[in-house]
Amino acid sequence: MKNIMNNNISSTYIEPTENVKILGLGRAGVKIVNSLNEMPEASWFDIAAVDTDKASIISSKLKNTFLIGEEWTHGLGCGGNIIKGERALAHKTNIQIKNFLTNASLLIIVGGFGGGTATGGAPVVARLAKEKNIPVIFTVTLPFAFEGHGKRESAENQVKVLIRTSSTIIPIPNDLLYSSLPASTPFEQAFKKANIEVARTVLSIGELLRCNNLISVDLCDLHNLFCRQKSECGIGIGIAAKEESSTYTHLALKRLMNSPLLGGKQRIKKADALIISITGGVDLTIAEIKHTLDSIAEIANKKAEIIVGANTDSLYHEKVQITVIPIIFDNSTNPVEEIQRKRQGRKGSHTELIQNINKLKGEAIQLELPFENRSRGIFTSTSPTIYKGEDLDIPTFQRHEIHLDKGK
Amino acid sequence: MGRNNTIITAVDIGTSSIRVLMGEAEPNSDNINIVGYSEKSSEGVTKGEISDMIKVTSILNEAAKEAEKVSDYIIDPDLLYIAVTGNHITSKDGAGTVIIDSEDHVVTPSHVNEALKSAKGLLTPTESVVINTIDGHCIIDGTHHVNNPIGHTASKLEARSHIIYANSNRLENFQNALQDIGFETSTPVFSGLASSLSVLTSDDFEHGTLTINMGAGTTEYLLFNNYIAKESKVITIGCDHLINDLYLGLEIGLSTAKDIIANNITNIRKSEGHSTIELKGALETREIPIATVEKIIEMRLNETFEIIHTNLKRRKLNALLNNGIVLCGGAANIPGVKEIIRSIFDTPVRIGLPIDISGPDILLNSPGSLTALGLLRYGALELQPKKYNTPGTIIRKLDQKLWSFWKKTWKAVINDTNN
Repeated sequence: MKNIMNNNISSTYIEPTENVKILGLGRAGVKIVNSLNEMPEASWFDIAAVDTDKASIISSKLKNTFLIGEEWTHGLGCGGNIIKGERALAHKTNIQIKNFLTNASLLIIVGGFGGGTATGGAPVVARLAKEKNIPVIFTVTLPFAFEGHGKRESAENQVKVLIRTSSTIIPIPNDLLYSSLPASTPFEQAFKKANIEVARTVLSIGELLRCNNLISVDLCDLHNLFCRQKSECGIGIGIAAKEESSTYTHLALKRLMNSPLLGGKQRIKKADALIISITGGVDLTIAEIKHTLDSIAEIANKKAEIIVGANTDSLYHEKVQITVIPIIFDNSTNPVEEIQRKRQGRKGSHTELIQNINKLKGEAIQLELPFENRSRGIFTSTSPTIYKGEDLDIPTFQRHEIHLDKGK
Repeated sequence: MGRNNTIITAVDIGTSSIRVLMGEAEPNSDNINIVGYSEKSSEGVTKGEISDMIKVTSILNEAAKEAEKVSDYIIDPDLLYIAVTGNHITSKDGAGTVIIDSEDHVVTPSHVNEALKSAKGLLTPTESVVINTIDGHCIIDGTHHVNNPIGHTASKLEARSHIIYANSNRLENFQNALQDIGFETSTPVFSGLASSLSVLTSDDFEHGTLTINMGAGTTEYLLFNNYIAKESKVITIGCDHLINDLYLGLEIGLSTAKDIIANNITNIRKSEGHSTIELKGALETREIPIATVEKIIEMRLNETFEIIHTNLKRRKLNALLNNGIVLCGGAANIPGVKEIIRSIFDTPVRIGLPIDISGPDILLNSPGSLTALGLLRYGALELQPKKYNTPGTIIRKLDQKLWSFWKKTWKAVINDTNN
């Protein structure tokens, strides 16, 4: 304990580049961390795998692997029991993990929620990190719908718990896998691809926060976006090398749009906020960055908040990696705030006056009946032509509320 | 069949009709001679895009066979052009710069080619392909606008190009229709560009003209000024919307509404001295005031052209329309349309007439066939031997006189520099 205290006092702020640590929690987490370990670009991370399952730990080629709770789970995992997972990580014998966390400037925790180890263990690790003043980012996958409502619920509940510990959480629903991959994709390949995608996300989040960024993002930006309200995320990742095509950023963008965990281009269009990260070699030109950002901005909603990080690194020689994390806020969760705002507005004398005038106006002018269900005639089954919010397939005179003599 | 002439074929899969035109480019002349044509009323096309492939291919097959029969030629798949439209068409202006580092700083064709290449090297929007590029003027040393820079002395050359993109999947739909009837290769051309090529004179290209092609499903427009395309766009509103408006607004049958638009019933009734249109039923007759019909049509057209006007105004392009507006497509037949456009744009308006094309009157006088005729023109221009790629290649070929004038000027410039 003394050691920790000393550390706390003596540790000055360390730049995030210096000591980014990644912890894979649970079976899914270990798999993701394993695929991350195989990437040469991830060599600057300190990676560790933590699991209660012996088989999963043995499969890992990482240097730092911690088998926890062995005395009472006998290395068999915790079988989806959250309490077991929590206990395994909170056990006082886990000095190794604490030691691993020492001196970390940023901790990224990867895991699949819905099971035991990651779901139960994540808050414990978050607490450990908080003791040492280490900022934490969780990248968690949410279970498939077919895995049952119970799993989903426990995963979502745990996300709520984590939000309270003021961590940054990036939840990625596994169900997105279906929506974008062709139905004929082999099952195994789909999962492998998903693991790699999540690993790439972790990598790009690390890149996003690196201090020598050309366009940098700080942890506060991420925290602000991810912890504002209930939201849904996806990840799109595209990598291309210069040797593949002369317009390789374009190729990377194309791959990004087909990325399995993005859930299609539509999600970028719908997103309320976008986090874009571009990492390329030293030879990445300004035009390429501009074109990439322009192309994404073109698709995105105009009101969307866009956070951009761009970075060059010699590890990405003649290569470019583009990552987009679209965040869609669940607007159904905070209607209360809006009502409050409206109520407050009425108290003000000026707004009250305007509202009174409007009321009077309303009495003086006869209101027209709302014409909600207008027919689109022969264009009923076609994609609508929308201009400035009006459906142009509806006759002009009907939209302008003009009454015409239809004859007898 | 024994004859040495090259036969160009144009296919226009429109919302109201499918046209197949075969034309013969006369050697040593700009004239195109129509040798065969076929027009069938279309099915399975909505808002300019194919919605029912089976219907379209069967009609297209009939039309192609008929055109071949009429002309007594066989369609050459290498010279097959197809008009492409729909709301997936987008455009961008590209610019490419080249530093001229030769000793004498004289711009050579290779410099121009390089600048144009980098102008076209813009990143294609995702899922899109380039269908047409229109090369425009060049800027020398950052300030000096020149139509043809070859022979000028400069240290920096910037070329401009207008690039038209289409969604790759939707573009393939058009080409697939042709593949299904046995033509593997076809060249796609943006129908707005095709219409412009058929009706604009060299004067129009230089002084600024907007070509509006309002067909049944879509309206395309393309603005040319100083030999470069400034803006091209597709709005998915067409004459079908007029029919739909009448159908919904007047509570009449769809076929009646079609009849009113296509056969110009309002003008016929007016000239007979009536103020209403009579719809005869079995037991009763319904009378619809002509004023109402005109009002509905006017409001829709007003709105559509107002959208185009606002789009141009946003980019301050409306001041470039010195030669006014040329209207093509089926909408040109609607009475009063010229007046409506004139009142919105405050420029002269004319209905498009094909230039340097000879053929049956019925074809040349129908504004609806201008897109297909323009495809033939595009094909004929492609056929002309390419000396080298200079800006405005396509358009410049139209204007041989100007071409030779420039040639003289370069010679003079080159001589000057040599001396």
